[in-house]
Amino acid sequence: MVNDAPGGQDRDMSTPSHLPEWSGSGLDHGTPEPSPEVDAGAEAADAAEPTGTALLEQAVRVTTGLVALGIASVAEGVRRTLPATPSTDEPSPERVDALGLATGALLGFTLLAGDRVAGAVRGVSRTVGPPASWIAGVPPLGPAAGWVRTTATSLDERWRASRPGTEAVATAFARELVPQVIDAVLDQLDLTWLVAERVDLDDLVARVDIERVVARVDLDEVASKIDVDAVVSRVDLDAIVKRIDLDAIVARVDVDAVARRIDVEGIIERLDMADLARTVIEEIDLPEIIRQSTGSVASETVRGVRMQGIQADESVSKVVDRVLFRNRASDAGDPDQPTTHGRPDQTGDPGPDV
Amino acid sequence: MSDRTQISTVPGEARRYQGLPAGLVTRVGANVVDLLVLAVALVVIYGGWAAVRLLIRGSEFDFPTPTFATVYVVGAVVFTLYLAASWAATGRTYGAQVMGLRIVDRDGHRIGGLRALARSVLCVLFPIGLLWCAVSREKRSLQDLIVRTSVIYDWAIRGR
Repeated sequence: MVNDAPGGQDRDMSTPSHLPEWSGSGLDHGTPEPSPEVDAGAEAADAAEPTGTALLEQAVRVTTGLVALGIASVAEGVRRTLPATPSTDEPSPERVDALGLATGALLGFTLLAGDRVAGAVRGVSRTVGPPASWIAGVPPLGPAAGWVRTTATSLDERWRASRPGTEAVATAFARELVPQVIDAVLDQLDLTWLVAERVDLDDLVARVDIERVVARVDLDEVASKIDVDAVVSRVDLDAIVKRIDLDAIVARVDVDAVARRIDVEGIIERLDMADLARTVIEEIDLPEIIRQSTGSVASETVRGVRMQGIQADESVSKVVDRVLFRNRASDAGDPDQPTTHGRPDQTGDPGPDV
Repeated sequence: MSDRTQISTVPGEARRYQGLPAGLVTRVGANVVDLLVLAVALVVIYGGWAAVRLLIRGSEFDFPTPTFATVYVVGAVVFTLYLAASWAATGRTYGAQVMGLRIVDRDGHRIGGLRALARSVLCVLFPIGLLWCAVSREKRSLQDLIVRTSVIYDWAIRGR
């Protein structure tokens, strides 16, 4: 993960190579202070033309600040490691307070020292500056100054000549070192806890354009990879159907509305009504019915005569049975009793024994 | 045709009697109707005979005056043939149709020509034998007993 961003490392390592250009003199190459801190000082100087004294003063302040921050960080690291000591389960409050006191005192001393050094630099600059400029112009000192300039120039040229190789070695070293350092740092960090504590996941998710993400997903491609048969085979449809209250579903169905949507006329048009009617007529033997209805003497008069004849027959039978002292009930079991004479097409209701 | 749906045209109040042996009153009523048919037939025969005589004798035509014996014999013969032909053809005479009766054998089927002729001869020669159906448990007349037939209520047209 760290190795994926080498550009940042290259940028950091190339920063010292720019120092000669802005400093304008090869004499400053040996001083480590005016590196990035000077950049910060230049930005703080509001684009004013920096003098040598101001730059030096700013460098002292920045260095003091960095030292103070370093001391504070070290102190904080020491403080955090204290509870991990196996001597006691709880950290000693006296030791923590003493460490905090020592750290604060050291920081205060460092800041005071930095402030004093800056003040001293200002005073020395104001006092020594004019005579020093005069001393530089004294004739006996002229050859010495020229020698210093020549030597510095040769050293600068040597640096420029060896700069690519040096940078390459430094870059390679950094490339090897930085991932290990970052891995070591990450090993000490609980990134999950860090994200949970420091990252507003709700805000992060709110910024995500889900629709855009979904639009980029080829759902057809995803669906084509799904084995639907296998999924369906694992589904217990019987159990699902058992959980469905079909009665409730059917009760909510508007059957009338469904019936209204049925194209009954279309269905009828598709039916062969003539063939259907012919089949029905053949099944119910309609011609026979018509023949019976028209052929039989089925008028109300004939029906009345027939029914009165039957009733008269029953009356005669009763009289005869009474005269002959016959028990009509005993006739029911008589094997010779007339039956329906094998006419299954007639209603088989056992009528009165006449 | 046997598996076709059969819809009975018999009124509901009479269906419970269908297939049961008919009693004396109904059978006498049927015979009365048949005798009326015979009377009409005799009149028609007489008219036909008279028409033939008119064609033969011309101006010497006079209405025939048959004797009672002749009328009786002709009537008996005509009635016998009428009954036999009706029973063998449809199982019922016109009088039986009016009263809703049918003559069947012991199995409920329509009787054959010879049995119908024998039964009609017996009926014409000894009509009083019909009264036995009032006494018989099976409501059979003497003719029924001799030729092994039955008279049942059957208001339907189709015979067997």
